[in-house]
Amino acid sequence: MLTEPVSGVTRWRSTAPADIVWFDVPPDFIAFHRPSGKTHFLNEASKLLLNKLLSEPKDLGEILDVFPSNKARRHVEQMRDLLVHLEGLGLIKRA
Amino acid sequence: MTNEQHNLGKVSDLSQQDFEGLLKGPGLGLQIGPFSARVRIEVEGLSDLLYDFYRDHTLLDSEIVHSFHVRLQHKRAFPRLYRRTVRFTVDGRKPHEDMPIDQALPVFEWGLNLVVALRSHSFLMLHSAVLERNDKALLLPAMPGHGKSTLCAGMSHRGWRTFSDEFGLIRPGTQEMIPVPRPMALKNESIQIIRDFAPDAFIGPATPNTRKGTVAHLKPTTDSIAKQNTKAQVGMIIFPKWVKEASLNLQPISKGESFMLLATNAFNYELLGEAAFRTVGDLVERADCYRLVYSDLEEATRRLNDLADTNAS
Repeated sequence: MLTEPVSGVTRWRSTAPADIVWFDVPPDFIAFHRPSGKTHFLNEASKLLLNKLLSEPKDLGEILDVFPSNKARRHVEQMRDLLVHLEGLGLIKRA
Repeated sequence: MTNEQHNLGKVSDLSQQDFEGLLKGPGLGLQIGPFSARVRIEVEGLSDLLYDFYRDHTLLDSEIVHSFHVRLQHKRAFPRLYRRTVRFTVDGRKPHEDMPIDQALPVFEWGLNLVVALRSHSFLMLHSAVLERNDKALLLPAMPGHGKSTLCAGMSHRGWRTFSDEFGLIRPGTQEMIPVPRPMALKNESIQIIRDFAPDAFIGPATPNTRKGTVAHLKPTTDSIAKQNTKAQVGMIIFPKWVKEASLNLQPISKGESFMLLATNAFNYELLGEAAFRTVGDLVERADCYRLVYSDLEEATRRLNDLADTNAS
């Protein structure tokens, strides 16, 4: 559950890799989250965040640096929404 | 011990009098797919119907440890003693209120469904009809009202073996669907549709005014019951929906969407957790997945027969 507002310095990291079991059927990715017992239907960007980008804590700017063409404000908002969504599912947490 | 060691033949090997005597007395052991049920019936007039519906099922002796003991009893509803009811119990417990006696057969069959759904967590239970053709199982998962049972009933009379109209059973970690052939509940307009579609089918009397409207039961084919120990790997998963006057439309759908639809249509997916996740993934990975919209039962069964036969060749 989101308890604090997202600021420019908020940093996230993904849950431990062993917490998630994947069923990959591109372009869809289905994740079983062991701690909650919940199954989630995710997109490729979510899988990239969970598996690679957030294995170490990063803030929004650092994440967007990986996608240089996505610096437009529209994409910043989309990425922020995605991070909040994944946090709500318990798949990432604030570092 | 296996059920084979306790197999006493078929119900039809008994006379109707002996069948009724066992139901009213010590109980009758029945193999129903992977389950062994001990059944007692103390409701006048029901044993003849059950004899017709279960005549091809395997009788089990009393030495076996049964999966469950079910009982249907005639009761009078206090304080309105003129109101005759039936009470369904499983292992001595009453899972729901007593029901009107003229609904005795549906109450018995729904009671068995309830027992399977609540007790059988060694299986992943998909809310799905399952049939077999060319040694491959077809899953028809759907929400109530989507025409799943009607399609299953129709296909069972066009060359498919019935596993179930309600339960897609599979043991987690395995790859084969498990038959559990039992009378299929037809509702409302579906009753006459199947009477017209399969005039030789055995359909019991229609029971009006149940919670699900008018209900009648269709006996599985003799072959389906005779092969109730023969499992099959899944070949296709089709999500059906009956839409009045719709043209037939069969479209492949993604495995991701199929996974979520199948998991959503399971009785105990969340309870089994990761084992269910892996089993559903395995099913979806192996199967061709489609969405079907239909209104004409004959057209739909013909199309699905062609699809199954093409995949097999």
